Amino acid sequence: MSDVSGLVEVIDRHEGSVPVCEIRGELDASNVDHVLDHVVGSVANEAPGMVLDLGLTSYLDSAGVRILFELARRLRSRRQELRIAVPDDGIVRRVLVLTALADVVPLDDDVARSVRALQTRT
Amino acid sequence: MSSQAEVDAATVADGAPALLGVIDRAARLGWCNRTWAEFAGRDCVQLLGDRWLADVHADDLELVRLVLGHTEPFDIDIRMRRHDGRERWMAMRGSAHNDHVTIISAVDVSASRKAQHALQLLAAVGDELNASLATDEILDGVARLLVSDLADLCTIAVRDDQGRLTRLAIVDTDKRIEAELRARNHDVIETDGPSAIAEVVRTGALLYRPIVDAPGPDEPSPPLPEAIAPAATRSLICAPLRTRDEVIGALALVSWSRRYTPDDVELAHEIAQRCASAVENASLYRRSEDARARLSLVATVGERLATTFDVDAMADMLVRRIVPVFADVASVALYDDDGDNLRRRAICHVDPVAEAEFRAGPYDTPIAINGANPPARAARTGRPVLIEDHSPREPGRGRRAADPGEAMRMLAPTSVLAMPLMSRGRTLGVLTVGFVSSGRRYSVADLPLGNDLARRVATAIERATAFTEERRIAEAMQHSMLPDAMPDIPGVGLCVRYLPGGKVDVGGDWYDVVPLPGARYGIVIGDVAGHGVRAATVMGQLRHALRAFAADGAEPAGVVARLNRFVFEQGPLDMATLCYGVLDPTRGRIDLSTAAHVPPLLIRPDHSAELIELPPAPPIGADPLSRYTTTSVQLEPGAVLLLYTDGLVERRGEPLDVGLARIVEAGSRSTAPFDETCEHFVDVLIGETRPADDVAVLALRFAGVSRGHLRVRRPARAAELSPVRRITAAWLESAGFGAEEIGSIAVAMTEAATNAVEHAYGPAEGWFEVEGEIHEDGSVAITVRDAGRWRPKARGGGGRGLALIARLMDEFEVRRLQMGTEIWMRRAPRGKEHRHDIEVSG
Repeated sequence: MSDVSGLVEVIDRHEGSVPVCEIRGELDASNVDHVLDHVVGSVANEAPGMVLDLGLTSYLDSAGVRILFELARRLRSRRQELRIAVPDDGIVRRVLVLTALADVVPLDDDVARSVRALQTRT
Repeated sequence: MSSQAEVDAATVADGAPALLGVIDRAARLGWCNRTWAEFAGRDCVQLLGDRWLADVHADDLELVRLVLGHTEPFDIDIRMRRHDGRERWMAMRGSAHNDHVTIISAVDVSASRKAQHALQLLAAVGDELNASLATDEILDGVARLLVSDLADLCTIAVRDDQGRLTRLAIVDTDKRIEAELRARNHDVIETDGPSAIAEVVRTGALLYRPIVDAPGPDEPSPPLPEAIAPAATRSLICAPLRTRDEVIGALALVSWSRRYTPDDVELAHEIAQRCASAVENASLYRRSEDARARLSLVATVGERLATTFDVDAMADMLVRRIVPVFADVASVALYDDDGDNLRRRAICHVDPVAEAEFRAGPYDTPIAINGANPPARAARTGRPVLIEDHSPREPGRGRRAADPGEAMRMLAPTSVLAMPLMSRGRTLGVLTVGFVSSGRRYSVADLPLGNDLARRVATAIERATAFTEERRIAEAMQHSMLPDAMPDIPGVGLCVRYLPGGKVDVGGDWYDVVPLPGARYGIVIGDVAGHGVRAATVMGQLRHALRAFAADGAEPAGVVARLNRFVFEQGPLDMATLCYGVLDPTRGRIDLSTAAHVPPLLIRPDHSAELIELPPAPPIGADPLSRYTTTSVQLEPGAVLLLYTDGLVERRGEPLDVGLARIVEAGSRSTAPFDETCEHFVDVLIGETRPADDVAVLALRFAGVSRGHLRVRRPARAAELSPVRRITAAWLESAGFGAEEIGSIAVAMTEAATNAVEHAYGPAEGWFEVEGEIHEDGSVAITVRDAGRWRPKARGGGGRGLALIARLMDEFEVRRLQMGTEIWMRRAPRGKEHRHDIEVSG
């Protein structure tokens, strides 16, 4: 999926039983609501959770953080876990830490680690 | 023996001085002595039965029958007609002899009763006279007291302040006659007329006519009709009201029912005396009250005039003070600019409705100077115009509505005084006062007060006009001499504020910013001693001289010393204080020199404020050899330097230190955006009122040294966030910033812009603007502003966004603007300690 302005692209795939959502590009107030709808719809009920791959996310601010909190809340209500894969040296990771999302959602350095964590969960 | 005893008893009874009789329960006389028969002028037989009752006054019959019908002893006063037809007061006593008859005695007590009655009447008159200070009221009260007791008609007339004999009381037992007399007789009695009152006032002698036909007190014009004046003879007493020096009026008593006796004359004389002294007292009191009110009028008017330079305010104050003490209506009219007409500038009327009507009507119509009305005449001739009786009923003074100058007539004054307002031989206008409803009249006695008021007002108006003119010129000069616009200094914000003083007149405060060689700037603020056109002229000279001396970029102390010598070369000497500084915006340094000027205020970026104490030096113009010094002050980025004149801190009766402490406090509490710094200080230190002295304030903010500037304005739409973010990032990248810093600043900027996009506007389209500044030291300032209103923490997202800005930047502030909101944020150059922060976050 990509938004009208071409700012962001969301790519869904599966690593085994684990759905992975990769967000490429910029996530800001202009597109977060679309992205949230899409991501929530991409997780099947029987999945153990999902991995959000922010490795190629070039921009994220409090608007994006808001939907990540919302996503985590919805998955938790379905007893599913959200993990976020984000490199440890970028602005995106800083924002997640500074807004305390990292206190609620586990952050991993790469997608493989996130997928492993979810597979061992079941 | 018994017969002898009976005869003796009868003889004794006949010889007794009292009337004796035996009367039964039905008031029938069975026997009376000779004394009674002699009193009645008839034989005893002719009195027997109920015939004696014919001599009893009709009003007393009922009482007599009542007491005789019972067996209880009694003692009553009744009136009985004597043989000569005169009515006598009889003290009648009786005690029951048995169940059927009562023995009575009656003694003539008329004389003592009358004396006692007179005393009672005098006491009542005294009470009446003391009841009030209103002459007409008390005299009316006295007349009502006398009528029926002492007279059938009572008239009292007294001279008024103008000497006219005026009837103040007229009372008759018969209300119809009273009304008739009131209608037929004018209030003013001609003293040379034939009436009794006129004669008494003329001669000063009491008039006593036991029986008269004419003239009565209100005769002779025309004679009373028969119904009013019965054919019976009348009795008249007319007594003068006499004070120590003069006859001030007369009291006339007329009786149709009885003839006045010398005793009545005595009583009337006594009453007249008491009335005279009461009238005199009231008049003295009124005059002293009047005098006091008038004295205080002059004093308060003089006092108030000194407090303003506003001619209209003066005129208004004057008329409002004059009414009602000296007038029922008062107006001030001044020559218009052409000098052709008088224009009203103020009016006051005792009746607000009449005043409002006049204002809505002829108020704005000019008074033609060639008119015949009192104000025009007074203005034309330069002399007061006094019209004692201006009553419109007077023939020859018919309504001439077409003449707008007669507009004063609309207020129907009965007496008018128009005073020219003269100052130094020139007529400025007219003060017109009138009496309308109070019945008062102006006389020559009022001219001194009128003159006094007019003179004071004229002087004040002249002074105010001259002042207003001079101030207008001085203000115009000063404005023409102050710089129109401040130069743009890179990295330095500048704002100025100048307030002309209100109370005294315009001063010689000035400020200036002069570009100097080497990208430096000369900044001066100064205050020339004195006021008015002179001070403004000196200020202009100093300003231009300083520009010339500063132009080569010399250090401040040298420039100030040179200016000081210039003042002495110019002579005559004028003193001035000033503070001159040379600002180097590339280094954030300002070199300052003071000549006895109030110390500059430094406000640090952390909002701490302090005065910069420069070494003291004399004002310029004090001594040609004065020495001045230069002090360097280093400004941190974000620091504000405030230069001002003493009008900002000085208050009358307060040491300067108190004002200086106030400005330091105002500086440390300042959260206003820099552009509003000067307003902040004026608001806090002066407030709404116009300052007494001039105030000049100049503030400069050292932003740091600029290495780049960015300014983008976009529609307030979410889709615009990304383009602006990219522009900002590109701008930072081109300035050599790393990805880490660019990322942080871009997020902070976007957070602020998101607030503007999401919360600043309703459905209507707005805009947001991003302004960026990179300083020499590598610090970055970003300002995001919009034209709407929003509140921080309005929503969770907004709150989280601001929290993020706070964490990503080193300083940030949300500022309410006149129109809109801005978020200012600054990120310091990253030193090692900051990198440490970043590592912790990872």
